[in-house]
Amino acid sequence: MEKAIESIKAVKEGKTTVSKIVENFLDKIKKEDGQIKAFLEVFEESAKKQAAEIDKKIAEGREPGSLAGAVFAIKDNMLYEGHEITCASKILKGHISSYNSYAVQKLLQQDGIIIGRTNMDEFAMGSSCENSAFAKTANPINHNLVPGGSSGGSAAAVKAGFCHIAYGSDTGGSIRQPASFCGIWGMKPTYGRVSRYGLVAFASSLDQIGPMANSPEDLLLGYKAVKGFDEKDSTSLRTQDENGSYKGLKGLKIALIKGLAGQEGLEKDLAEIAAQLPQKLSSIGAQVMEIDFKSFKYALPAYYILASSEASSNLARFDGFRYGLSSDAPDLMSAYMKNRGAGFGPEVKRRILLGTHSLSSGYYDAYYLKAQNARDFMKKELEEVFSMADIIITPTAPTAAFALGEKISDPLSMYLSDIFTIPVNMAGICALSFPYGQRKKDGMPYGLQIISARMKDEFIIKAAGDLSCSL
Amino acid sequence: MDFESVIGLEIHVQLKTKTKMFCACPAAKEETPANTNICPVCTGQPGALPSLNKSAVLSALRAAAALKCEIRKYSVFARKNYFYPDLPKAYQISQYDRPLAENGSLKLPSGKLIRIKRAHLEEDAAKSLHALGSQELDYTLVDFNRCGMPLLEIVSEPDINSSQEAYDYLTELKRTLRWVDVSDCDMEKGQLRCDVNISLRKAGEKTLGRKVEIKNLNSFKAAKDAIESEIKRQSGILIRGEQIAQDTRLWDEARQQTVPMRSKEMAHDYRYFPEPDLPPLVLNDSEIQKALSEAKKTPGEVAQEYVKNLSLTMKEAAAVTENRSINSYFEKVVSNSRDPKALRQAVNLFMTNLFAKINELKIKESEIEEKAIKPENLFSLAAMLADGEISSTAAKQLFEICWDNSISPAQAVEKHGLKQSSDTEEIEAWVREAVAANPEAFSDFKAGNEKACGPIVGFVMKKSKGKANPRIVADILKKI
Repeated sequence: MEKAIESIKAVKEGKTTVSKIVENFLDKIKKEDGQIKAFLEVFEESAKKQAAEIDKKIAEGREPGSLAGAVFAIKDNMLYEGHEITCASKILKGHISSYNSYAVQKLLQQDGIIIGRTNMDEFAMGSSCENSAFAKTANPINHNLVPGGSSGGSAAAVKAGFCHIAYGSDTGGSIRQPASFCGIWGMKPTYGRVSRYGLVAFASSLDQIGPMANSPEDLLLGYKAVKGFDEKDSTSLRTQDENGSYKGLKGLKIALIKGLAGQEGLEKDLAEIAAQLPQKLSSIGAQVMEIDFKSFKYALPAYYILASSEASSNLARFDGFRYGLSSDAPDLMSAYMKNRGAGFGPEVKRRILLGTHSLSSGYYDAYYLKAQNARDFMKKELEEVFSMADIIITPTAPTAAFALGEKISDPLSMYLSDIFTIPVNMAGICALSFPYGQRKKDGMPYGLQIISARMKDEFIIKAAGDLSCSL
Repeated sequence: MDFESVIGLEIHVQLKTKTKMFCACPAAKEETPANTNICPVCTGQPGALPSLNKSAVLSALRAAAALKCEIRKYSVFARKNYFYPDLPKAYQISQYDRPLAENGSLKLPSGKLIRIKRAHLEEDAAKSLHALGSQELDYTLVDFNRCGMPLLEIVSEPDINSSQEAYDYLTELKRTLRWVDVSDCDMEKGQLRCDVNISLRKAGEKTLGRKVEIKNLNSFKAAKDAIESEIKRQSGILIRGEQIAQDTRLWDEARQQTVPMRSKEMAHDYRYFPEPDLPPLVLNDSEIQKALSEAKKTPGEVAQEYVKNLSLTMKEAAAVTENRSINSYFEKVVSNSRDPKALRQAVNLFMTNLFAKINELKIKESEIEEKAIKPENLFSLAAMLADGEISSTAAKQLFEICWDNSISPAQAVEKHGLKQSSDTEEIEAWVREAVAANPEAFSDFKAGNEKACGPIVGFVMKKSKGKANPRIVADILKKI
């Protein structure tokens, strides 16, 4: 399949039109998405209209936007004006976005085509895409397996060739883990790099929009297309990326976490791959060091307290009074209970309960505050690591894709799926996952995670690009 | 049994800004049709995020400085979570454990200091309009125009001990906040809202009694009345030997008594936590310094200085510090000279003629400089009065003639022949004529009845068209 950068070039050179590119993707989606269910909705009409307008612009000799020829899918928690948005939840079914999210706005301004909204775990809570109220997405490589989550629809759309680049949101690993499960590239930028304005919030201090693609080149394109300062997001960063500091793999200081190979739940094949890494990395001239990561074991519990606390507050606005699922009720309290009771799925309810409890008077110090302290500690520890090392490498997830239904009734084992990715969100730094190695029994891909300090977003894309060729 | 009432006030003041607290919507005007002044942010649409209005912060800073608070360079916004249809996000962005300002005070005209516990920024909720119909038509409408308006919550320590003190505190607070241009504090427009916390204890006791909160107070007078009524209610309970129930009550204006609020409406655990969508509010030194200099002196302090340095009465001093505009006008008048006699005359003109004219013409405070007699003209009238160049009757006429500034007082005196005469010969002629016309009054006067000279002086004034210097008239009367 053609990369986005190639399609953009072909359009620029007049070898094809944006409409043709869009038609090809639409055909493929029509033929194959019935099996995969990557999309909750395909924006056929608006995508065609957009394409025709861009082609007209080109035909009239006007300069098209820098993304003309590239086709994008968005996760169903990013607002696209005039289009439905549901977060894969019954509570928002039928809701039409009244404005564009910052990321969507940037894509449209640069003539990027938005071809549809992808399936996800409800409100981005989950690691398998099975918590969607509307569809179960299949892994395009093996339809009996999950695509990962929560951005499972976006990962599947990219893997299946339904678009060039898809966007996901990553709160604890929701871009990187499905990228790993589907054998593609997925990145969580530095917190504040991509505006959250118009991204329906799960956990505000952890959420970040990021690109998913089939190559490092398209990943970079997808990242650059949406990054930047936005005055509407007060946590948006004004500082520039650290460009030009990447000097190649030779002498690159790579940290590996001590004892990670023995991590509970790590698949045997992946443990073997991890064990071989130090030697392989040294052989290509990298400077390898082993580090202690003492706060690693607190990442998961602290994350589930903080993310759930913020979610319990962020999701409180879904009451059915101004938008979304609404039913008749005799009084105010019954209205809240009826609307929210019918609108949210079990995982969302579980996390709202957990978060509400953690913030309750008498429990706040024991849960929320303690978790916040663990988070601060983790941040400091990782800062120290990056004073010595350029990047950290870990597996992205402890396993390759698991079977549909395998973990849905065991939330704790599902949560373990994000054990390597969560510390990155907690520290607000950047990381990506790229395909590396396979599970022997079925050939399902594994992913390696490259982590670096804040603002090193382009650095890790370049480093991972070289690593994927050399390792 | 004697009881002491212990009262603290919680005031919400709407800050005077161009836009709302966290979005670009214009700050709502009263007459805006319902739900037209709204956007995704202030109606809590999915995906919308707050961005802080810096002018609300600067406004709050001025208030904090005027209230002598310690200002926190690093304060934190927090979410106060509760469900209600007028709160679209189901949380209010407020400040909790690290507010903008703490430990301030406000001095009452009596000299008593009321400590301010804290002042913090928060956003306003929407307005609920409850339809009063039959059971079937029972519904509530919500107007989001007000939602997201910037508020400053000012919490006093329980230093207030009577309804009158509460009233004085409210009045002084309003004057101070208007002074630093933080808010117009118009209670009718909801720009100032007040909740009262009140408990009673036996006189001399140290421990506090059970606290009752009173809401729904729509005027300063309502606050005063509610406190009086609540003191009566609580002391009645205590005298009977019963316990006060800690609760929240509403002021029922029609029945002039507090009534209990349904307990369901107050059982909240707000689950405060730091607002993750807003970074901590970090202020730099120059912002703080600017606020401190803008709020250097409170109107109360300026008034005290006038009493001390310019020999004004408390009432006069309060009047000329009522607001910034009137005070700046007053300052311009008195800057012309420090001669105490002229100053006294100027204050007299201010208190009688000027305020009467402002009221008569319904001049707004902001228009004083533009529409009133120029400060220097007012002062030259005062100076002429002090020097005996014109009589007070003439001054009154001249004030009217010179009001629109088309003619200077000096020219007007010439033009209308209002200069007071000190020509003794001329005056003596008038006096003799007056004595001849009022022989009885004159003999009474000579017999020692000083008041009897009234008709004679009146005659002279009439004859001289007000120009005769009354002092010289009196001298001549005694002489002849």
